[in-house]
Parts: sequence; structure tokens; C-alpha cells
Amino acid sequence: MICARVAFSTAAWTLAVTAILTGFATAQGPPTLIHVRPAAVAPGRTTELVLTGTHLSGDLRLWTSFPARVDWLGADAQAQPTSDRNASSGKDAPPVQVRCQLTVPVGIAGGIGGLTVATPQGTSDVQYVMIDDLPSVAEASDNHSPELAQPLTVPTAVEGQSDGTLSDFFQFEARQGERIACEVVASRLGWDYDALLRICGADGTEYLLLDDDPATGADPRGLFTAPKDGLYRIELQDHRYKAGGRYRLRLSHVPFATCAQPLVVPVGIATHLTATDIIGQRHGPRELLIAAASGPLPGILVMPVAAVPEASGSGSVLIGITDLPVMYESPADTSAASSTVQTPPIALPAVLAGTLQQPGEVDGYRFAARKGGSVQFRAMSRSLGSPAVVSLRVADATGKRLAENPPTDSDEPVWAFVPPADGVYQLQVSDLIGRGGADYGYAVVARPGPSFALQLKNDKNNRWRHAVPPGGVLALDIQCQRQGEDGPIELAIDSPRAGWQIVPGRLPAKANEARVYLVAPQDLAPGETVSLHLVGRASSGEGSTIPLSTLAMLRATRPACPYPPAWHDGLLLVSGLAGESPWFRVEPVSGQVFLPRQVGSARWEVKVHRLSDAFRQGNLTFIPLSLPPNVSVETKRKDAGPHETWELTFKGPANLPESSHFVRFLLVGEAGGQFHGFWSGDIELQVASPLRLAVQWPAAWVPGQVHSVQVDVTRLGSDPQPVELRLKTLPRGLRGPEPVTLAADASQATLQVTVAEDAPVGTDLALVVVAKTRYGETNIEVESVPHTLPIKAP
Amino acid sequence: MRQFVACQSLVCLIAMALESGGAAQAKEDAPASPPGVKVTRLEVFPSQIELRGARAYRQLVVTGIAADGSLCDLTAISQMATTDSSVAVVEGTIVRARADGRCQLAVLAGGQAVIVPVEVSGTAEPDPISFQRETLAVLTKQGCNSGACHGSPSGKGGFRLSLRGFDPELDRLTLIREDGGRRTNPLDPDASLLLDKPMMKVPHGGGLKLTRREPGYAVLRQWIAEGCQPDRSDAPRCVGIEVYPGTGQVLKRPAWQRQLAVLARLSDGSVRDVTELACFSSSDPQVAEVSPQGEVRGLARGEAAILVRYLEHVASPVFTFVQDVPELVWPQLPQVNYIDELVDAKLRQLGYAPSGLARDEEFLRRVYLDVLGQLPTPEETRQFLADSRPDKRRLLIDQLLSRPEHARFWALKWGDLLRLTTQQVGPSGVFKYHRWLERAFAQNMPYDEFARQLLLARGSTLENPPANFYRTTSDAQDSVESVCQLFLGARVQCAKCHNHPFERWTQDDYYGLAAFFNRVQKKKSPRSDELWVFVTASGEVTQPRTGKIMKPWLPGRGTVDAGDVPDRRETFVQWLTSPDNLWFAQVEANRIWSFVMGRGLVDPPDDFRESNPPSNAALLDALARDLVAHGFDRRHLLRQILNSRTYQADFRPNPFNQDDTRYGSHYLPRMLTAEQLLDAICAVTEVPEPLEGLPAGTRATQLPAPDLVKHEFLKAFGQPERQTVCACERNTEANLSMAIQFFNGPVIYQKLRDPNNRFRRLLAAGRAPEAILDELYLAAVCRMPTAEERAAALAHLASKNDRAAALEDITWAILNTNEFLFQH
Repeated sequence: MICARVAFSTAAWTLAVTAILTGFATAQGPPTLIHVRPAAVAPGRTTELVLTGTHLSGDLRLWTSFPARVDWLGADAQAQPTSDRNASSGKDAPPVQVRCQLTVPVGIAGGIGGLTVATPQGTSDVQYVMIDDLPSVAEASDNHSPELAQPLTVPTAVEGQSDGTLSDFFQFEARQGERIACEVVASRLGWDYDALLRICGADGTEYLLLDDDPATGADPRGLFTAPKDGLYRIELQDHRYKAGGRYRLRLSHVPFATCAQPLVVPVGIATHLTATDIIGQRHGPRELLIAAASGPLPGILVMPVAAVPEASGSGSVLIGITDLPVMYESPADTSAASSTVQTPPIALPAVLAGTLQQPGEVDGYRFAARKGGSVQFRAMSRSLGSPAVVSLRVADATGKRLAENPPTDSDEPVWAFVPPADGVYQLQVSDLIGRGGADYGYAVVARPGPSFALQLKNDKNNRWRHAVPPGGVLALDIQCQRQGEDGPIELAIDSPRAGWQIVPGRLPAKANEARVYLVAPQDLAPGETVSLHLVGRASSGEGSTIPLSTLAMLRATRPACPYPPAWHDGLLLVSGLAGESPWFRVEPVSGQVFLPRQVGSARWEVKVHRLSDAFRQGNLTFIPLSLPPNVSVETKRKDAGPHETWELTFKGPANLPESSHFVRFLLVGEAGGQFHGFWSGDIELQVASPLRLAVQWPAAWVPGQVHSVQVDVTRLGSDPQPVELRLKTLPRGLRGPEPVTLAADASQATLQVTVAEDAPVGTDLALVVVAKTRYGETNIEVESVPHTLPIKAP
Repeated sequence: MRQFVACQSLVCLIAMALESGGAAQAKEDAPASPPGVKVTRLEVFPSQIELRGARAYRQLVVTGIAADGSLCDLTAISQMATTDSSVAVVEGTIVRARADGRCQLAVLAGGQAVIVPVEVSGTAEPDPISFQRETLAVLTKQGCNSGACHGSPSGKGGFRLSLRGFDPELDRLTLIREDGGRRTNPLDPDASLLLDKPMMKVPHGGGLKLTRREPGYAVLRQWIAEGCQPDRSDAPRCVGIEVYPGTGQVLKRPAWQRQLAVLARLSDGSVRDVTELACFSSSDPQVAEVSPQGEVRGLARGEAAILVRYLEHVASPVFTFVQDVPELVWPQLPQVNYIDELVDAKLRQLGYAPSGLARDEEFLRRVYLDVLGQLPTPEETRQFLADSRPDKRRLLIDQLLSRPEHARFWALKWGDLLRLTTQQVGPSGVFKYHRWLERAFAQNMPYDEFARQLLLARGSTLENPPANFYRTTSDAQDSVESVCQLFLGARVQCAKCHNHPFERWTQDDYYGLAAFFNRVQKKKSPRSDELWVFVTASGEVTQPRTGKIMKPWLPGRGTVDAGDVPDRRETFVQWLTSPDNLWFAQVEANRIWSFVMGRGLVDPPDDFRESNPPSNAALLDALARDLVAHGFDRRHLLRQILNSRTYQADFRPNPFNQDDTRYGSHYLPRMLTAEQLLDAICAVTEVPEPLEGLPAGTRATQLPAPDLVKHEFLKAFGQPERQTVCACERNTEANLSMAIQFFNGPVIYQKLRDPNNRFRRLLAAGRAPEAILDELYLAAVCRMPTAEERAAALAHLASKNDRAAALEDITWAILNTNEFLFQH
């Protein structure tokens, strides 16, 4: 047995490649990338790519999701305007082509990668490319009849494009019994091509028809075995006769690997891994040890099939990795029935991994749970290459079904079970429609207690790629699906590039939706492309770090690709924008704000000068940082721009404790989907009483004498008012003056207290000075600290 | 009973009866028997009469039997009398009880006499009106609770009854409680609106519906007078009805009358005559009519079912009306297979002589259109006409059945039924579902397997296209209705809200069937346009009226215990596709027959019911058995039909079958369907119709869905929208739009004007006008022009300077002939 120790990165984007293509005119707008041909690169080789798009000039940089080196070859002299239907971004600029060489290191796992181009004007959308060791050939343009079938030599991969109602024909020679694995890769590359593949003999006899695949959907795959020596033809078409969709037809002599068993492996523990191929044969096992994870968990690893040598052939398998213990099904607990009585309960949290080997199979896992708590289940199958559509049920110890996950649009259910009583329960895992087979693997993450999920809101104004100037701001609307976790969620940025800030850094308790702003590093270079992920963690500190998912948005933008490559989910790409003039200026940048604690409200005004026409009508948002607890800020624009006054009203409950806080604001201007940010300086928020009393009491009360009590008044704020002073509830034996009013400009007064002749000597008397005034529209009453004096004999 | 008595004794008996007061009951001036019928034997039903209760009666049916075994109904013309009118009396053709005792009934007709013993008992016992068995039956018989009157969902004039009395308790409360209690007045029954309205004593929107002479009047009045009582909980219920005479009676003209008697079997084992309370209707009013009293009268040769309804019970005896056709000489025509034998047997019985074989060119065109949906090319026509082999028709049929166009054309037919549209199954699903259909026909998938794949489908609608069957059904109820109509030929929609008014289907049956399908669920998936069909482990159906949880129910088998079957549909489909369930095979056999014969043996082909019997039950049965015996091989059955002389018959009727449209004596011409017609025009002109988004050369008959390509011509000629599973959506009734399309519609105009059309290319190639005419006629109607046609066309060509323009006119004229427009 070979122990394969694999060092890996869950985030392949950690190695991005940039280069500068010089000698071209400055681009006028953000670049678009319409397509890349060929849409495949080979590990260990240099592939020349032709990139078609707009604004592909100037300081052009290439970002890839996989390790690679780029060498630009310059503009394509034969560049022609493209007729690609997807060239929607090219409406304001003619598409052009540039060429580059991409060198991919040996050992990079096959699969789906991605690349973008960036300039100081922005970044393009990601174009998927296949990392494939099969040689690529382009489809012949006239292969639309059996007679004109394009000759191929297996192994090979053909890149082509649908001509709508015309089929594409290819032909190859094969000897009797020769096996040829075929697959079309299109939807996995995000291409809208729903393939129908037929292999016929020279006489037209149909030998193989491939349509949808249970795991890859619109991308068919299968194995053709030649019945005799001869010429065979492949007819390939989009079954809807839809034109424009691209495809990659792969032909190989070895069956392609489809998925791994188990689907999920733990970090740091050697695991026996097998791979299943397209004809359902398993290869392996081999021992695999994931030494450490560099990205958030759970993650997905693309594993070269070379790790399982018997499954040698082109491609790779996807493996989920986790920091939780993984409980693999065993013969003893594979059936739901046997699991009810024989196996001890599984300690949660854990990942439950198995394979539905037979149609109708139901796997059972026992776990203990307490009444009223909840257990969260999150299934994984389709995203890891398994065709299983997992259905989850929970039964009690007797096998009686208690609940099942409700059907949703997802093929990977996320479901919370609330136990009705303390006890041992059984999770039953099956395929939604009762299928089974060697490749019907699944994994279920089971966690007790509350949980949550974060996703980028699928909204037309929301994006996962941005271009910002150094220190610039971008906004993300995120949604939080809470499964029992109602507390605040701490947010953080996970990026190889330091210097990012996220504002606010916390989702309030119970908030299901929020806008957060990301502030780019100050030294972000124009054209520099940075990948980052946003992660959340419950403020309670319990539970794992949860990465933000962009799956809904990716599916919306690439409907043909229901399962985007794992590296793409959650990926946020930001490129540096060439220095732009600030949209607005603010003054004063910093200052001090007095918040009278009895009033609970204070105002602060700033002037905003709109400097850019682009921002004349834009929105301005003040985002405060480090506000004291229970204090909020309301903003109000008081007059019209471009030089306008904004009033910030700090509000809090009356009688806030006296304190001093330093508050900063991020001011975000938004116009046309772009954002500009401005950091305020520190603003001191002073919470204090607007009126303070200092009282000088006599040393003692002496019967028959008159004593002076001196009161010094300190007013805070800019509007001094008269203050009325009096002694509160004189005790028996003392007689005080009528209330004394101190003028607005006076700050000292003396109160005369007469001690009665018969005042009882030896007793202590407590006195309080009360001051009343107004602060703004609010009546203020302040009392001195109670002071106790004895009555002493003269 | 003594069936025959000596004439002398009979005279005495009748004399005694007359003396005892029965004179008024005898029909002294009635004819002895129908003209031309010599009765040799007399039968009276019932052969003995037991009347229990003061209101008991029996409908008499008197049958005369001639020497040749033929029957004639003599009920209406019989002389009848009882020997003791204080015990029982004869009113019309009904014997009624008077008092306990015994007597005899004498029946005299056709020179024959029969004595029937009569025993009356229990007349002193209380015999209250049964609300359910009598009052509601009267309301149904009088039409009060029909869908057009107070049985409509909103009732009429503020008075709403359950449709045909399916909710007795609600109806009773409505009658006694609503409207201030004025509908029924037990203190003064004659002041009840329930009587006054239908008798038009007060204005009644429905007109006169009841008279004092009708039996219903007495029932209603007595029920009111008795205090509008409900039935006791232990009161006997009706569990079934029997009709005398039973089904299969053959009545030979002039003896085309038949009196029916209806007996109700009650839950206590007793039997009651309910003839007066039963409702009667004819399945074919052109063949037979029936009076409210149950007297059937034939009007024309043929078969008709008489639908007899009493409460929710239905019986449908079928009567065959035959007559002698003196001039008819049965032609000596070959019988290719059992189809011809059974058709001939029916035709012989009815006196229709079959037409001869169609001409080769007509057969060729017909079979091409039926099998491929398209016309043969002129070259194919020439080859076939020149072929001298005796079995060339059989060889052609085999060849056509193996062509790919056959599968594509028949996929269109099933596409209509399966609601295959983009709207219903999505832009991707429509192609996948259609391709599955095409391949099912191309591979000649056995019909039971075809049904299984559809009805047990689960999974992705894209990966497993038959799962779209459930995508097109909105819920379990829609599934039941679709499954019943498609695979059982039954329209059960009515039973969703109430018991089927004309059939055996009850509301319980409906929801019992729904219990097989209610666990079928659908969910979306991340893949665009994909839906997942799956089956849940739980979920029950509740009967909305009774609130009862329904167990799965199967026709003919009743409630079944589905137990812990993971998918209840398995049980249903196992029953459905079982070779023992001939019903399933009959429906498909009938559908195939209707596809190629233009009319189903049961017609409409998806409307199997007792009141719509097959025109040739034996043939339908044989076709179904053949289908089952050959593993549900539809192509085999189609081949059998196409090879039959019946299918290949001339469309021209002969004097002995010209009024037959049901029994296969000659081929029934029918208009080409919209898609066939468009393809035919394209074929004649050799200008294909571009169908956007589909490969060049795609024919209209190969369109996956009507909403993929919006085509005005196709719509005008009845292309269905596929909104329902009903075959009736395809409409070929002539309309103005059709005429406009042929007068100056763009499709024909552009094809005639196309510079590369058939005749312009022939002209350009230097072909002589005569040759071009030959090509046009061969392409359009598979024959050469007649001398008259040729002369007229050449004259027209000669009269025009522009030959192409003249040929446009000629082609247009050919396209406008019935010979082109019709399949014949």
C-alpha cells in the first residue's frame, strides 16, 4: 500500500498569475472576456491561448484559479470581430483577441479551472477552462454531415460549437473490442450546450446513444466498445438545436473517473480512498493523508486520479475535506434496520459518509440528542460528483419515522431536526428516488446546536467581482440563513492579500440580511487582482467558521452550470482600479461631540462637498464604527448639494454612564453601482451630564448659627442657561433659603442654612443640593452627592 | 307456471277476469302481433309475481317468439287481466297490489296466452316512502336535480340540490328547512312548493315537470304527507339494479320495440320493481329512442345501448336492430384475418354489404398518410403501381412500418395526448420527451412497458423524459383524470365533485384512485428547466365530502391494501398492465383503430362507458386479445389492421352500405390533419416549410410541440394546443380560416410562387406540360390525371402566355380538390 501524502491548498486561487502586456493603447473601459480558445490547458505543458474580449489592452493581467505562468504573445494580428452570442459586453467596443502562453506545473489536478483578465479599468468575468491532459483539436467548420465527418485519433479532445440545427460529425477507426470512453464537457464549463451524442457504424447503425448523465446532467458520458473493426461516426448536437453553445468532446481509451469514495475525508487522518469510473468500476483503495488545510473548512479538494493509480486516465475526482470526525458506513451499520439496534450512537458533530450501493438502499446512523435542541444536517453529493440526490429522514429508536427533510430546490438538503425527547435517534440516508450504485456516495455533516449559512444575495445589483481604487470600497449584500443561531455573527476576510477591512464587522443578532462594505488595501495596485473570501463565525464562539457562498449568484449567471467548480463558490475577486479622483470631501474630518446623558441625544454637523459629477445624485451612507453600547446614529441631509450639510444625531437612552468614546465613520458614496469610501478621523463622543455641581459644606452644623453652603456650577455645552439651586428636603432643625437662581453667566452661589436653637446635638444630617436648568428643550435636574454632617454643640 | 294453456281454457279465464271487473284493463282492440310476425310462443316476465306491500308493482314484459326464433315485444299490445281485481290490478302494462291474497294474471297476445300466478302480501303493513330510494329517485327522474336545473353548483332560483341526489342528507335538509319550510308542508302536502312548482301551480322557470298522473307525484306527495321523514338507519339500501331483458337482444324489424323492466336489489335481499322510478336514455338517438316508461323503439339499423339509471346504479343493455334487405346479395370478398371475419359478421347481421377493395393508388396514399403521415413521392407511387406482386400491399405495409418517419408521426399522436408542449414541460424537456416518444415507437416499445415507463416515472424530467408525464399533471387528481382518460378511456372528471351522473364512477372511486398518485411529488433542482419527480413515504387522500381517508381502489377489484409498498403506483400499474385486464388493451387497440380508420370502435376513443358501447364489441375484444397475445406489440396490431380488407376497403359506398358510418362496410374519408396537410402541400410543391429552430427538412408531422413553432396554417386546420389529454382537442371541422388559407393564404401562395417549386423546375428542365401534369397529379393524389382533367389543364395552359402562371392555377386547383384534402 502506498501512502500518498498530498500537500494541497483548498483555495487554488492562492497562486495567481499576473503579467503586463504593454505597447497597446490605454483601454477605455473594463475588460470583458468572451471566450478562451482552447478552453483547456494541460498540466506540465505550455498551452497557447487566444483570449477574445473587449478592452484587452494596456496593463493587462491574467488571474488563474490554478497555479500557472503566463507569457503574453501580443495581440492577434488576425483578430476578427467575434460573432459569439455571449459577447454582450462588447456592445461598446469591438472584440479583439490577444494571445498568451500558459504553463501549468506538473501534478496539477485535472478539472475545471478559471481565469480572468484585469486591467487598471477593472476585471473580466471568469472564463472556465479545463485542466486536461488530452490533446485539444478544434472542430472543423464543415463537419455537418456523415460524409464530412471530421477524422479523429483517440485519445483526443475536440472543442466545438453548436451550429443550431446542424449536427457535428466526427469519425474514428476502432478495432473490435476496443473501448473508448466518451464525454462531453460543456455545462461544467458553464457553456449552454445540452449534448446528445450518438455513435454509429459506417452503415448508420446506432451503437451508443448518450444523453443526460445522472451526475453531470447535460454533459453525457459513457463507454463505447467497438463491435468490430471499422470506422465509426460520432454525431453530436445540442438536443434543443440551440446555436452558439460550446462543447469539449473528450475521447480516451481509459474510462474517466467520476467520483471518489468516501466523498469526504478528515484532515490529518489517513484515509483509504477509491475512485469510481464511468462504467461503475472502483479502483483502489489507496491511502490518502491530507496533512493540513489552508482554507476554510469544510472545503473541496480536486484530487488527481493519479492518486489512485488503477483509475489512471484523464481527469480528477472531487473530495470534500473536513476538520470534523468522519464516520464511514460499515457493513454493520449500512442498513437502516441493523443500525437501530447494533451500533452505538455516533458522537456529534461528525460527518457521516457512505455509498448507496444498491437501488432502494437506506443507510442508518444512530445519534443521541436532547429534547428541544436541534441537530443540523447538511448533505453533500452532487457537488462532489455523485449522482445521489440525498433524502434525509430521522426515525426514533424503534425505527418509526419522525421527520424528513422537506423538498427544496437544492439537491443537497440542509435541514434541522428538533428532537421531541431525549433519546437515541437514527438518521436515514437514501436517494430521493431510490437509486443506488458504486458511485452513489454521500456525506452528511451533522452538528448539534444552532448554525447558520451566509450567502451573497442573488440580486442584480450585487456582484462577486469588483474593481476599486486603492483604499476604495465595495459593497456586498449578504444574507444569513439562521438555523437556530440568532446571535451576532462576526465577519472576517480571508485573503492572501493583507490590508482588507470589513465594515461593519458583525451581523447584528437576528439579522437575516445586511450590507457590508469591504475597504481595499491602500496599496492595491491598479490591475492587481485579489481573491478573497468572506467568512462568518457566531459571536458565541461556538461552531465552525462558515464561508460566504456565492452559489446562488453563480447559478443565476451561469444557468447551464448548476454545480460550479468548488473554487468558484464564495470567491470574491477584486482588481485595483487606476487612481480615481475622490467623489467627495468631508469637513470637519474629526472633532468632539458632547452627548448630555440626561438628554440622550446630540447632534454633529459635517459639510460634504461633492467633487465628481458622477456622484452628484449619488447616495451617501455614514457607517459608524465602535459606537458605545446602546448608542445609535441617525443621519440627515439638511440641504442640497453639491456642498451640503449632514446632521448626525447620536442617540442613546437617558442616563448613559459618563464616558468618552472615539468613533470613526466610513462614509460610502454610491452611484451607478460604484462605491467610493472616505474614512473620518476620530470623533470623540463625550457622554456626560451638562451640569455638574461642586458643593462646599461647613464642617458641622451648630445650633443657633447660620452656615454658608457654597455651590459651584459647571455647565457643558454651548448654550448656558440659568440654574435654580435649592436644598432638597431639609431635615428637622435646619432651615434653608428659598431656591436661588444663578444667572446664565454666573457659576457660583452661596446658600445660607440656619440651624435651629434646639437642633438635637449629636445627630447626623444628610443634605443634597438640587440644581435645575434647561439643556436645549430638555429640563435638567442634577443633584449633588448627599453629604452628612453632625450637629455639634457650639 | 303454465306457459301455454288451451285456447278454450284461456277464453274462460279471460271471461272470468272480465266478469270480475277487469274489463277496463283489457285492450280489446289492440292488434294481436306486429304485422308480418307469426308468434308461436309467448313469454311473460316475470313468470310469477309476488307483490309485497300496498304500493308494490311489477312491470310486465311480454315477448312473442316466432318460429325462426326471432323476438317481438308484445307488451304494449297484449291483453291482460287479473282474476281478482281486489287482490291485484293491471294498469297499462303494470300489475299493482291491492290487498293480500292470490290471483292469476292472464296475458293474451299474438294468439297465445299465458297465465301468471300473482301473490300479494303485506298490504296492511306500513310502507312509508323511502326518501333515498323513492323521493330522490323521483327528483332525478323528473330532472329536478340535473346539472341543468337545481343540481347545478349554484342551483336554480335559489333552490339547490345535490347533483342527481348524491348527497341525500343535504337534499333532505334543503327540502324541509330552506325557504322558510315552504317547499314541503306535511300539514297540507298540496300546498308544498315541491309539488306546486313542477306542476306549474306557481311560476316555475323549468316549466311543467310533473303531473298527477305520473308515479312521481304520488311518491312526493306521500313523502310530504308522512312528515318528510328520513330513512331509518336500518332501512334497506339499493345495492344494484337488473334490467330485463338483458343486453345483447337482437330485434328484427318490424319488431323493433322492447319494454324494459328495472329491478332494484336491496341490501335486505329483497327485490323491488323500480321501473317507474328509473331514468332511461339512448346512446344513439338515431338508432333507438326510449320512453320515460322504459319502452325502447328502434329507428334505424344499428346498435344502441339503453342507459338505465336508478340512484347511483347504472345498467346499459345493448340492443341490435336488424332488418331484412331483400335485394342484398352478400359479396364474395376475401377475409384476410379475424378483423374481416368479425366486421363481416356484424355487417351481415345489420344487413350492410361491404364495399370492395380500394384502388391501388388510393390504398397507397391512404397507408402512407396513416403510417408515415406523408404522401408518397411520384417515384414511390410509380414503383408501387407498377409492382405486379400479389402481396405488394403487405410488403409495402411492412416497409412503411419500419421507416423512421412512422415513429416520428406516431409520436405526434401521442404528443397530443401527453400534453407535450414547451409550456408544460419546458424548453429542454419538450425535446427530450418528444425524443423518448419517437424512440419508443421506433423501437416498438411494448405498450404495457410504454405505460409502465410513463406511470412509474420518477427522477429528473430531463434525464428520464417519461417523468414529464407528472410534470404535466398538476396534482394527484389531475393524474387520476389523465391516467383514466389515457389508459382506461374513462372520463372521470365528474366524479371529482360528485358521483358520475351517467356512469358507475363514484366520488369514492375517484379519490380511491387518487390514493395511488397522491404521494407523487415534484421539486425543482439547481439545473435550469429540470424538475424531479419522486414518491414520498406518507400522505393520504381525504374524500372531500365525507372526510374519509381513502384507501387505494381499483376498478373491478375494489379497495386494495397497499400496505407498506414504497410506491403505490406499482400496485396500480401492475393491475393496469396485467394481461388479464383486457380493458387496458381495449383502449389502446381502439385508439390504434381510430387512428387509421378515422373512427374508434368506441368513439370518441377515450370515452369508454356503458352508455357508449363499441360498434363491434367482438372485434374490439379480439383486437385487444391480439394485442395482449403479442406482448402488447402495437406495430403488430397496426399491421393486422392495415392488412385487413376492412382497412383496404373502397371509400365509395355501395347501395347497401351508404348509410353506414360505424361498422366498417366502407372506408370513411377524412380530412388530412393540419400537419399532414402542410406536409402534403410541401410535398406536392416540393417547397419545404421552414420551421424556425428545427433542422431543415423537419416536417410538420415531426414537430415536437405546437408551441415551438407558431404556425397560422396549422392552427387554422386544427392543430391542438395540447392543453388536455383529450383526443378531442384536434379539430378538423371545416371553418372559414381553412377556406381563407386555401384561397389566398401565404403558405400556399408562396409555395406556388416559389421559383424552385416542382413545376417551375420541371418547366426549366424542359419537361412537356403533359409530363408536368402527371407529376403534379402523382404527387398530390397518387394517380395520373384523367382524360377530362388533362384536357382541361392543357386548355388552361394553352390559354395563358405564362406557363408557370398557368401551372400555378392548375396546382392550386389540385390542392383545392377534396381528393387532395381528404384521406380516402
